[in-house]
Amino acid sequence: MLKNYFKIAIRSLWKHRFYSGLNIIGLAIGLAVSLILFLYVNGEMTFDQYHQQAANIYRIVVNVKYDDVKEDWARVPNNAGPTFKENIKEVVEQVRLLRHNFGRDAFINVDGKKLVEEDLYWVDSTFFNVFDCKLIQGDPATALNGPNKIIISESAAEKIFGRSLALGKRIKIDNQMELEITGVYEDFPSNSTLDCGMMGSFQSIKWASERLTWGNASFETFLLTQADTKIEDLNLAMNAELDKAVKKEEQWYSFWAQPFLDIHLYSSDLATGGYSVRAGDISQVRIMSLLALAVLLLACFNYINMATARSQQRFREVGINKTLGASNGQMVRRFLTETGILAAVSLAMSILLVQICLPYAESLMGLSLNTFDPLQAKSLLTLGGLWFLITVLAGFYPALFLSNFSPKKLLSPLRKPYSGNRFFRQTLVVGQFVICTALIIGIFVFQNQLNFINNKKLGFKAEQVLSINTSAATELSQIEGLKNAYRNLPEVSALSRMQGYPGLSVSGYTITKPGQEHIVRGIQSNRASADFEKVLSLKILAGKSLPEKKLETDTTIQVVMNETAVKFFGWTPEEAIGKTPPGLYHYSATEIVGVVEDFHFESFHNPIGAYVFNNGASIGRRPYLLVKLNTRELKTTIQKLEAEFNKYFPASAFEFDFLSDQTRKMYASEERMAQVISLFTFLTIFISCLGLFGLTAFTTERRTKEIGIRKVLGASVIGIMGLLSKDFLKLVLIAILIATPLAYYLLDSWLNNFAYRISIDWWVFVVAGAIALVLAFLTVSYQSMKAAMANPSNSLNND
Amino acid sequence: MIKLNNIERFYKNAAQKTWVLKDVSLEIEPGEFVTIMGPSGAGKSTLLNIIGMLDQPDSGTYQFFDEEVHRLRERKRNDLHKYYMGFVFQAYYLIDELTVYENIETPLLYRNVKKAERQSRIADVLDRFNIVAKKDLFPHQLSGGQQQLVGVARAIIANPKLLLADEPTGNLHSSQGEIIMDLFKELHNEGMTIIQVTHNEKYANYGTRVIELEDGFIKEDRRINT
Repeated sequence: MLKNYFKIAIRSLWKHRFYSGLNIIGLAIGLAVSLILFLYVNGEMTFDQYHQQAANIYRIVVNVKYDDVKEDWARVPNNAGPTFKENIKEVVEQVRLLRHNFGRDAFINVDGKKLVEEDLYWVDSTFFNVFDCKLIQGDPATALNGPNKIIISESAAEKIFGRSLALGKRIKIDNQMELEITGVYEDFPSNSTLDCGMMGSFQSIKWASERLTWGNASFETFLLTQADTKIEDLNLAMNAELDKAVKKEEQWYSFWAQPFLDIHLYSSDLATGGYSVRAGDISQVRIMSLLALAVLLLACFNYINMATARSQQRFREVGINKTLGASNGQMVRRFLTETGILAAVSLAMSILLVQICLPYAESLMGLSLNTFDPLQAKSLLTLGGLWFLITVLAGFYPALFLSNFSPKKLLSPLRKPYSGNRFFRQTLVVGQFVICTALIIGIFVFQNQLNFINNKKLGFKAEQVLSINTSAATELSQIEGLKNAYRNLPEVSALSRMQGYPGLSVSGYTITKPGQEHIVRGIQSNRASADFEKVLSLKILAGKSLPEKKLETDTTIQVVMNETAVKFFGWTPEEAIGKTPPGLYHYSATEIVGVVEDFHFESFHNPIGAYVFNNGASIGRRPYLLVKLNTRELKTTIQKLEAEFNKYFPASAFEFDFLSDQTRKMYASEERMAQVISLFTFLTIFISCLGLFGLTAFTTERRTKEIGIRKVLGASVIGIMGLLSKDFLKLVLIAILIATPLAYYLLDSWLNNFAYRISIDWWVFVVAGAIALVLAFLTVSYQSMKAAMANPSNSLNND
Repeated sequence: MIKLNNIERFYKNAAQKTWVLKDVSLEIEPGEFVTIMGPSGAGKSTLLNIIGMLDQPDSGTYQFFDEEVHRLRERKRNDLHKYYMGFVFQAYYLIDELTVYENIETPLLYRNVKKAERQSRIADVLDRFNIVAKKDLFPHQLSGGQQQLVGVARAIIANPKLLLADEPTGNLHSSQGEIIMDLFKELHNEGMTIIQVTHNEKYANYGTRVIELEDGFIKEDRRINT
């Protein structure tokens, strides 16, 4: 029997190959897109799961309270880990991670080579007890158990040493420390939050490993617990330890534990995340899953539409088979077989598409997806499930609907032309165009918001500003020499040394309200030298910039604060000059010398906070030399800058960034999202139009005779086109009406993620609606034009 | 074999009842060859549908052998239909996607007949109808007469007790029509009960009995002496 179903199905698909083709293309594209998204979602959901003890690992997070602000930081004081391991019985092991200079590149000299390592970490020797990390060379028990030891990743070892042995070689970092390579580890897989390229022993960093405090929250700390540990108990125990160590009234934070497996997707709410840059976002995963489902549904809608539209032909077949003894169930199975075959062909095509498109998808989404091997047991299961889903989703309704046909109509003398459930089909078309129109509106709003961000006054100018990394300096004279050399270049209009710049994190401190010391708020502190306001084009509202020179022995600190900070104190910019900012830098002698206008040092997701530039000798390093250029001849200018750099830094590589690139990076995920959505929109429109095309082909075919009669009676081509298009365009109009409030609601909540956002203009809906309408009209008009232009004698002779 | 009693079938509009069949009572014995005649709209096809159990009367009783058809559940009715009836249509209604052989095979598949038996039965029928050479052709490759031959072959392949034919010669030339009618006659002689609807007076004479319908009533019921 099954063989018979197959035979009929295949021959019938071939006979109606035009419609089958449309269906297969639509389904294949829909499936390919959802497969790729499935890979993405699957990768995100299984992130970090490869660690054997993953379920028992937690990251310590501090909940920081000041002013009316509550924030979570994934970096904690260095005392937390060891204390918890010592005193909490559930804690089996702890490991602390410190990223080199809080995320700055490390300059490395090894084996006569100079290179830059972006992902250098300092970690406790207990790392191997907590995480799965396999040493290819070296012994995990001793690799990190003392100062000046470092282990490097396999790929780094290959890059530096090729085939020769790395073990025992000496490596120099920032021209300051010398370490011995004590191990080579297998690279972390791409689905690992840990992204260390090199790991130095924690004990190599004296201030971090020896001066234990409950104050400086800079250390990402992981705890390995006993298997049956309850997270609530762990939280209680950690805060009990804090109570023992720090007086209640001096506590400015509390602890909580974040499960290791939650880190990748559920960390976007943390004000300060971990050190890894491999962060995911559950809301993006949700959006992507939703989009995948929408595309898949669209493709299924097409199938349902075309299958029921052609029911006229199918009913005859059902009637005949039923008089020959077929039951309802047998007919349902017969039609499901057809859908199943079509779905299988589409699936095969989509696998091919995925193989071709995967690299493009990866670069578009900016991530590496797992390679897709359709022959793996797991993917076979997925594909089988997908096939089943499609077959049921697309095939079940048509099969049920068609099989229900009563054979008595075969014999009835008055057979009314019956076109299936018209209302149902129209609903599906409306559904498709609701999705399309909403996505078109989405593109506009995304693009508008991104333009808004790009054009909004940042408060500083990032153009033509270059940041040069000078952390490799061993002596101050190197930097001073370089500064003087640059000053003499005509292309350089200003320069300043800085700890960080907009887009990079600097040091976090707190300030208090004058006279009310319990009211605290955070402030970003950036150590800088004179002329910083010229380099960043900041506007000074009162006072002056930081003084030019300052002896290293001078313990007073001059600061320039932003408006927000001064407002917190309750002062006008003029009033602030000469005052000491309450709470800042604890008890140091600090004086406000200037106030600058607010500028966006973080992305527009966040409102502008308090910010301070200082010239304190002991407050933060200044690894960057920022250079403002006054020329557009960038290439030759950079060559000049590099030549000078090499004179003063013969042992290091010339590392620079454009500030404008850095600011753009703040919105990389939004830009990527906009691209992905654009592609999706294009595909959904394509699939929907494919369906509409098939549907019009069918209706015009059915109405050929009517068109012929009308033409004989004198109807014009335009009139007939209108007649044929009207029905479909009406549906698209309804779709626009539904999509408008829906899109408004969804996009408005997306925009609420930004502290600075556009409002959605009414014209967006008009233009998006017009686009949907025009696209639908063009799709329909090909068929209707063909029918309207046909010679009526042909159509009337058809019977 | 068939006992219809006061069969009625009507369509209801807003205020009006339109009768398709009214007070039709009828008895047909095994081995009869009945022709139903009448003008268009007289209710011929509806009567055939009801006898063939594809449609139900609005009132009246229908007894098929010992079964009270009007009391049966749909499933049981479908079974009766499946195991006792064969259908021949004016427009042949072969399945376009299947070859001659496969078309004839379909009823056997729905009755779960084993493959070996299917093959021998189809071979017999092809042989008997002289269409062995055509068995691998598709319907559109055949003439109308040949298609109807296949239609008849398909109708009888499962050995039905009753053959129902709705204007089987309506789309055929007279010479082709005669071939089909000769075939019916032959089947009748072998003991098959046949009920056909036709407009053609000449073909009515192949049967043993003529029932004439007009406006849903039986106008005349006469036997033909052969």
